[in-house]
Amino acid sequence: MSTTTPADGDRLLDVRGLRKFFPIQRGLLRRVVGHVRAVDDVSFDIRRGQTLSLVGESGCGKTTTARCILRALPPTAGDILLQAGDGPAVNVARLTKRELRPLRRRMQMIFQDPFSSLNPRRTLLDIVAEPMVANGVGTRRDRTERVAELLGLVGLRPEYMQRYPHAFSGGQRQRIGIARALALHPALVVADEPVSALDVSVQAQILNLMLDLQAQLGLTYLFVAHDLSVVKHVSDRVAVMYAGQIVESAPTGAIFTTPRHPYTEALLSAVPKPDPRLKTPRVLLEGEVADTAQPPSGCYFHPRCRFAVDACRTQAPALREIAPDHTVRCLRAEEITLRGVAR
Amino acid sequence: MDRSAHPRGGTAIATLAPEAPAIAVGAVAEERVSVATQWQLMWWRFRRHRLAMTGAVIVLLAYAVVIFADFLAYADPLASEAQRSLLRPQPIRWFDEGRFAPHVYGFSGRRDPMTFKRVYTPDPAKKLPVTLFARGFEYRLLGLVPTDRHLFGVADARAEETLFLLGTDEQGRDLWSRLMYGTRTSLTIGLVGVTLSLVLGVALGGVSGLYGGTVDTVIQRVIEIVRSIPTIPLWMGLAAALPNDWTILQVYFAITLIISLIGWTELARVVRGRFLSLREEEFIMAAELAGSGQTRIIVSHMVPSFLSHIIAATTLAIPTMIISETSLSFLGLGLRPPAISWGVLLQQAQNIQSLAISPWLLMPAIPVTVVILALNFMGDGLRDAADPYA
Amino acid sequence: MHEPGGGLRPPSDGRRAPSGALLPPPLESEPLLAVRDLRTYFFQDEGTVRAVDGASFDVFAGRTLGIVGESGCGKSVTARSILRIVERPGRIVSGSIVLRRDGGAEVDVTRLDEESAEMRSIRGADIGLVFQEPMTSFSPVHTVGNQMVETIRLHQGVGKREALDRAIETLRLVGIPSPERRVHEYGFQLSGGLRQRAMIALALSCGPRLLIADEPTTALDVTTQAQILDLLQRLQAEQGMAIILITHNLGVVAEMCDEVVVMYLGRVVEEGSVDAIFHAPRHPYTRALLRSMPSIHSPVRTRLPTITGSIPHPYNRPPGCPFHPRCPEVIAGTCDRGEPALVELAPGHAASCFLYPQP
Repeated sequence: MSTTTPADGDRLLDVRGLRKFFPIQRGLLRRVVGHVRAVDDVSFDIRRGQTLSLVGESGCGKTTTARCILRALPPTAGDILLQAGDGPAVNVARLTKRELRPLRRRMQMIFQDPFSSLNPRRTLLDIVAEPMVANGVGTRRDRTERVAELLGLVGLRPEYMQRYPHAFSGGQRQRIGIARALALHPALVVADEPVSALDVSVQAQILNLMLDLQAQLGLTYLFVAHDLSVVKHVSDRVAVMYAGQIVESAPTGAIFTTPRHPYTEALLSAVPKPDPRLKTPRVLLEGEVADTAQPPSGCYFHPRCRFAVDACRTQAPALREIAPDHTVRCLRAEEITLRGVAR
Repeated sequence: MDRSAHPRGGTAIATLAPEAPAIAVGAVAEERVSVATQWQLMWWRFRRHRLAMTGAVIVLLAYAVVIFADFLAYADPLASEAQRSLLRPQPIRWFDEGRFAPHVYGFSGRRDPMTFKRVYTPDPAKKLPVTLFARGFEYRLLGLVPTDRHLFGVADARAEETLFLLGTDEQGRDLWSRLMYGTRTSLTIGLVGVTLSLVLGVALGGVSGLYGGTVDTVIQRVIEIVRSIPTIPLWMGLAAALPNDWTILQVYFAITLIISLIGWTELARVVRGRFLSLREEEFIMAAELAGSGQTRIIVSHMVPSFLSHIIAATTLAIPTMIISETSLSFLGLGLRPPAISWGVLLQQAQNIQSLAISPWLLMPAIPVTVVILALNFMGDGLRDAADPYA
Repeated sequence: MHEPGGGLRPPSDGRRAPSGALLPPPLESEPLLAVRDLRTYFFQDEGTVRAVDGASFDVFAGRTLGIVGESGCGKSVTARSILRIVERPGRIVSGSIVLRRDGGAEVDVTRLDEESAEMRSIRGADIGLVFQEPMTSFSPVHTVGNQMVETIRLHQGVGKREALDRAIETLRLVGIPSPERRVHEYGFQLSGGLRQRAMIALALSCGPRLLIADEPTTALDVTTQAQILDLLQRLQAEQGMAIILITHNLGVVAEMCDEVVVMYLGRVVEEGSVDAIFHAPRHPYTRALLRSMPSIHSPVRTRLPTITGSIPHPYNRPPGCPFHPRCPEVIAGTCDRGEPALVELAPGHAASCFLYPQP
C-alpha cells in the first residue's frame, strides 16, 4: 500500500525521517540487546536535475541511507517519496517487493568498487544489458544497439562489448558501471563513492563524465562521498552526516565558505591543502567517532566539540534553518564563529 | 569500517598477475585475453600446473581403460582353470634370434615326483607369438558391437598356452584381464557415487547458503552429525545389513549409495561457502537493483560463479569414493566375487601365501595408488585454477 | 629520554619557527639514505615488469621525502627494495642504496643478502616501515604488545619486562590513551586510527633513524588522517628521524613533505623541493596531475582538466618516454624513441623530459 502526497513537481526525491536500525544480537538464543542506529532521522530532498552530496566519514550512515533509498535494505521507519514520472509521488519505503519492481527503472546505483561491482564472468554486453533483460525491455537487437549507444555515451568503444571486465582498468570499469546504471533511463542515480577507488587522474575523468551526463540526460544525483574536494566539483547541495544524522545541509558554496556546524569546520580543516605555502592551523578533533550502537546523550557530537556547553550534553538539537536554505543541527549555531575555505 | 584502501585500480590485467595466463606483449594477445571466458582463463592457469596436467593425462588413460576394458583384456576374467593356478607373470620377450618377434614362452607341465601335483614351468622351447588384435573371447565393444578381437594376445590360444602378463590367481584366472575389469568397476563406482553426492550436496548446500537462518543452522548441524560418525564402522554396519541374496548389481548400487551418503557433506560445505560469499558481492546487488528476480540471479550470476569450484571439489571427491569402495571390498564387506574390483582383487591377496610365494597378486595396489594420486593432483590443479579472478 | 643507540632517540635541539612549530634539524650534509639508479624488475612468464626503472634520490635526517605517483608507478616497490623485502619474482637488478648507519659506517643494502644478519638488523632498528593496511600488519593471534616486545628484544637484547616498558612508552608517545591496557589488546580490538598509531609505534619501537610510511593514511577517514599526519610531524620534530612518505595524495604531500619525488611507471619524472614541485612544476605529468586534482578551493561544480588516456599496462610499456602517449607536450619523433635522463634544472630540482636539454 503506497501513500502518496501532493505532487511537488520540482522535487524528485523527498526523504522524511528515515531511520535504519540494525539489531545487536547476543547469546545462544540470539536475543536482541540493542540497536545500531545507522541512520537516525535523516530528512532531505533533491530537486530534479540537481546533485545532492551526502558527506561524512566511516560509520556516519551515508551508504546505509543510499541503500535504503534504493530499497536494497528495508528502512526501519520513515518515508521516501519518489516522483516517478507524471502523477503523485510514490512512497518507496512502504512498497512491497513486487510493487517495487517497476520502480527500479527510475532509480539506479553506481558502486564504489569497480572490481566487484561487475560480474567477471559476463561480457560487457551482458552486464550493461542486464537491466533491460531483467525488465523484459526490447528485443535482442534493440538491446545490443542500446548497449552500443550507452558504451559510446560513457566514452568506451562499442566493439568492447564482447570483452570481459578483466580486460579493463579501474576507470574503464567504472564507466561500464555507469553505462549499466543508465540503461533504463533512470531519473535518479545514486552514486556510492564512485571515484574513491580510482587514481587521481582517472577521478577527474569520471567526475567530468558524470557532470556531462547530468547535463545531457537531465539526471539527478545523490552523491555519497567522504572526500570533500570531490564533492565540491559535482554538488549543488551538500548534507554533512555524523553518527547517522544530518548535522548540516546547505548549498555547496555556503557549506565551504560559511560552515555553521563544528564538525563541518573540522572536516574542512582536515582536508590536506594541496599548496605547501598554505599552512593554516588545523582544527584537530579529539577522540573517536561516536558509536552508533551507544550514541552519546544530547548532541551526538558534543564529546568532540570545542564549543560544547552543558546544554549540549542534555539536549538533542534538531535540524533547523539558520539561514535561507541552510539548516544545521547545533544548539549554539548562532553564537559560534567558524572558519571555512577561502572561496 | 574505515573506507576502503587505495586502488589496485589503474592497471587492467594487473588483477590477474602473477597467475595471469600466458600473454605475449602486444595488441593481438591482449585481445585474446580480453575476450577469454572464465573457462579459457581456467584452462590457461591449469595448463601451467605440470603435476596437475600429468594427473589429468593419467586419469584420462584410466577412464579409457574403463571404456575399453574388454578390448584390453585378452582372457575371460571369469574363466577359472585350476591347472593354471598361481602362474608367475610372463615377460614378453621382444626379440627372437635377432628378429623383432614378440613372444612368450609356453608352459609345460610335469608331475612333481614328490607331491604328485602338476607343476607348470615356462618352457623356452614353446614360443608363442604375441600379435596385435588377436582373437580371444567374445564380448561387445562399447556394449554394442559384438566382436572377439582384443588389443593383443596369443593367436589361437589354448588353455595352457596363452599370455599371463601379470600371472594368475589361485583359481587360474588371468590377473591382467581381471585388473582391466576391476578398473572399470572401481572407477565407475567413483563416478556414480560422486554424482549422487553432487546432487545432494548442491541442493542442500545451496539452500543452506542462500536462505541462511534456521534452515542453514539445521542443515549444518545435520552435516556435522553425519561427519562425526566414524566411517568404517558405519560402512561395516550398513554393508552387513545388505541381504545376502542380492545380485551383484544390487549390491553394487547399494554400496555406491552408502558411500555417497557420507561424501555429500564436503560438497555441501563448499557450495554453501560460495553462496555465502557470493551474496555479498556487489554485482549481485547490482542485479537486484536492476530488477532481476531471485531465480535469474541464482541461475545467471551465482551458478556460473561457483561451477568451477564444484568441478574442483567433485574431482577431489572421486578418490574418496574409490578408496571407500576399495577398502570395503578389501575387508570383504563390499563387492564380493564374482564381482571384480580393485578391492576384490586385493582381498584375494590378503594372506601370507601371497606375500611369500605369489607377490604378483598385489599388483592391483599400483593402479589404485597411481590413479588416486593422479585424481588428487588433477583436483588440486583444478582448485587452484578454479577462480581465475581471485 | 633513553640513551642513544638504545630505545628512543634524543629530541631535536628544539629550534622553533616564528609560528611556534618545531623546525626540523638543520640539513646534514650527508644523506642518511642515498638511492642511485635503482632498478627492480619482476621476471614473469609473460614478460618483465620494470617496476622501478632508474630511481635516484636522497633522504636526509629530520626531513620528509614524499614519493608520489599513481598505480603502477613503482613507489611501493621502491620502499620494499630499500628494505629488501621484494617478493619473488621481483629482484633488484642494478643500482645502489647506501644507508649511513649509526656511527657513520655506510652500507650498500643492495649488496647484502636479503636474509643476512646485517640486513635483519637494519630492518626495524635502522629503518622502520608503516604499512597501508594496519589490519593486515598485525597478527590476529598476538597482542600488540607481543609484537612490539618481540621486535624490541630482537634488536635491543633487553629482558621481557624492560621491553614491555619500552613498548608502553612508545604507545604513549604515539598518543594512544591508556597504553598499559592497550598493550595487551589485539589489533582487531582497536579502531582504525588507533591501529595505525599502534602500527607507527611498532615501527618506532627500536628508534629507527628512517621511517618509511607506505600510504599510511589512505585507509583512514580524513579527520583521523589529520591526526596521524600531525602525529608523524610531531614525532619527527621530537625524534629527528627521516621519513619517506609514499602516497598518491598530493594534498598530504604538500602538508608533510620537504622534498618530493614524482614517479610514473617506474621512472622518476621529477624531483625537487615541495615548493618547487607545486609552484614551478617542470614535467608535463606533474603539471597535468596537479591540474587534475579535485580541490576544496576550486569553484563549485567545475570540470577538471584531465590527462587523456589511462595508465598503460606494465606489460605494454610504451617505447621511449613512458608518458609520451598521454603527454600534451609530446615531441613526435623524439619522445617515442629514447628515454629522457633525469636532468638538474635548478639546484635541487630535476626532471626527466625531452623538453629540457639532455646531457
